[in-house]
Amino acid sequence: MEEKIDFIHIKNEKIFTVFHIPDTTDVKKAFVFIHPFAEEKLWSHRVYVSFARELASQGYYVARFDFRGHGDSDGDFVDSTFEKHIQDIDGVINHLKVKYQINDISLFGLRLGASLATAYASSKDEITNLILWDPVLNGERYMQEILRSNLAAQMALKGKVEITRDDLVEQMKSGSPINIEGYLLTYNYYNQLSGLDLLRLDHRKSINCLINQIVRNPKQPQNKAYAEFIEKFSVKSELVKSHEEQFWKEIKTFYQSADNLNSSTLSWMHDLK
Amino acid sequence: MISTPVTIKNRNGLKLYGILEQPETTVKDTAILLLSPGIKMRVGPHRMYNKLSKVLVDKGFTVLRYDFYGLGDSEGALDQKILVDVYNSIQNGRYIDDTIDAMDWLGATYNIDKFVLGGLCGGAITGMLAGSADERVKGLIALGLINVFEGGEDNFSKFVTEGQLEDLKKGYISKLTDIDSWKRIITLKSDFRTIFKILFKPIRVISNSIRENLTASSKNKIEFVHDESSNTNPRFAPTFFSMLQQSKKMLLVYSGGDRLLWEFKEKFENIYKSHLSDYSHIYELHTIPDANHILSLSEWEESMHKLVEEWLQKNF
Repeated sequence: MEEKIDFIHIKNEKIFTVFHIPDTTDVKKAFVFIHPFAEEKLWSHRVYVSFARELASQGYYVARFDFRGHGDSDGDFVDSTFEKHIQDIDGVINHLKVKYQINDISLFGLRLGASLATAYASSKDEITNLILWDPVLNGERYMQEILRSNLAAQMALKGKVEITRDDLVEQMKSGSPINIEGYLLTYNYYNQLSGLDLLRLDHRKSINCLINQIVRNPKQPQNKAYAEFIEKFSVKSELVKSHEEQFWKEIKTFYQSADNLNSSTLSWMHDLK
Repeated sequence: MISTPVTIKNRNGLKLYGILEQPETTVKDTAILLLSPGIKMRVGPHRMYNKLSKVLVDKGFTVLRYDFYGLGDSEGALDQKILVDVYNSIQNGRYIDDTIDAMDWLGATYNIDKFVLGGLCGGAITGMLAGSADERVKGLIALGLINVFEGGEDNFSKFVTEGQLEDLKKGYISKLTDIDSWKRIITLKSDFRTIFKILFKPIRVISNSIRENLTASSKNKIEFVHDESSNTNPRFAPTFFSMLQQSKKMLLVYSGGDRLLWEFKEKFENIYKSHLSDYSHIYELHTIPDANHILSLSEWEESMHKLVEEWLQKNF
């Protein structure tokens, strides 16, 4: 198994990409990994790396990349937009097609990364499979969670919340980005992500989709919204639960890989063949 | 700025992934290695290292940001299952070899033999431990340099510093009129061990001042004090003084709202005050008021950039 790190170019900007290349493969199939939002990307990074290596060992090509304004790619977070994210995914897929001659391409994502993967797949005909770990179905609710982290930071610094959630939105509207754990969030980006509603999107019935719901307690019931969402995809699609911790934030456990998620995902992929 | 993705093989044959960033024109003869903080990879929290690197490259330095083994994109795996154990292993020198191997690689590939090591928290302590052992290292940029092992929340009241207690005391006083706080006390949800410590604070102050007098009495010979029951890193004081004795310049930047400032002051600086005064020209310590550990506000980060720029201009 080989790993190549490279910059690919999109609109004169560099996108940092890691290509995992399997030793042997019968049919060339690739996965593009879409990372989650801001600091969640860093906390879950090692889990992404481990899963990419696992897939490559099973004969799949994997491309992991940083959106512009994230990780080692060009640009600043404050300039992030939904359109740029779609362009970046497009750029990585084109690179796989041109440089590696791969046309069977699937997308994988966690949390907001899963949402962006779904949004991309809904607008393109070329995606074969979608693997979604704990996807954010409702962008508006998710962005409210994001705003909460600003409130928590205010509490830590000043002992009270001086700028409410509504004030934060007004601040963004007036052109001043707000600070989310060191990332500057603009109204445009906030508004675009808030507008993501996967249940309302038109999805292609031909896509095979796996939703892997992450549960901290195995007895936790199936997420009803996920159950409704999975119906929008092919008959081979499935909603499964995997017992894991919330490794996309700082927790006591050091998460190098999400073994339950890996094995349930690989098992679904095996059944697809 | 020229950015190049690079891979470095460490002494155990594991590939370490990184980004080498170089100025397009004039290049200084000193390279700066930004060492990964904790388990966060080579970009650092909120891409702090990318932003700092731009500042450094603009000043003519070559910068290498890379992932230690088992972290980020690099090869290898760590044995620890608990995050605190990973942090403690880093503070105990887990990544000294990877730091030296990266300098060897830069030496062999780009013919660089002078280095400044830099980093936040775990990156800073790794830089100090590696820097004291390698003569190519001429300086250290230490952001939130940590001198204690992590005890976790369970040990908070055992190892809490006077400075933290003082801050907490202010917080408790401000909550005297807060109904929710009283509810927490009544329902036994308050941290009574910490409250107890605040009440008995004077006893701890006296014990520290006795220790200061003891060390002051033996001014010419540094006796490294290590109390087995404390959470201080026994390697910290000898390594810090080793850096000073080798005249390796150190910039220490602490965040005003971060417990690490108190840990450093109370569990190191106050204890070795008389010896440190001999080396005040070698190291400088700055505090960014109110800032948190990761310098998440832009103004805090800009203050840090300014301090780093000024220090580099003065020394390199």
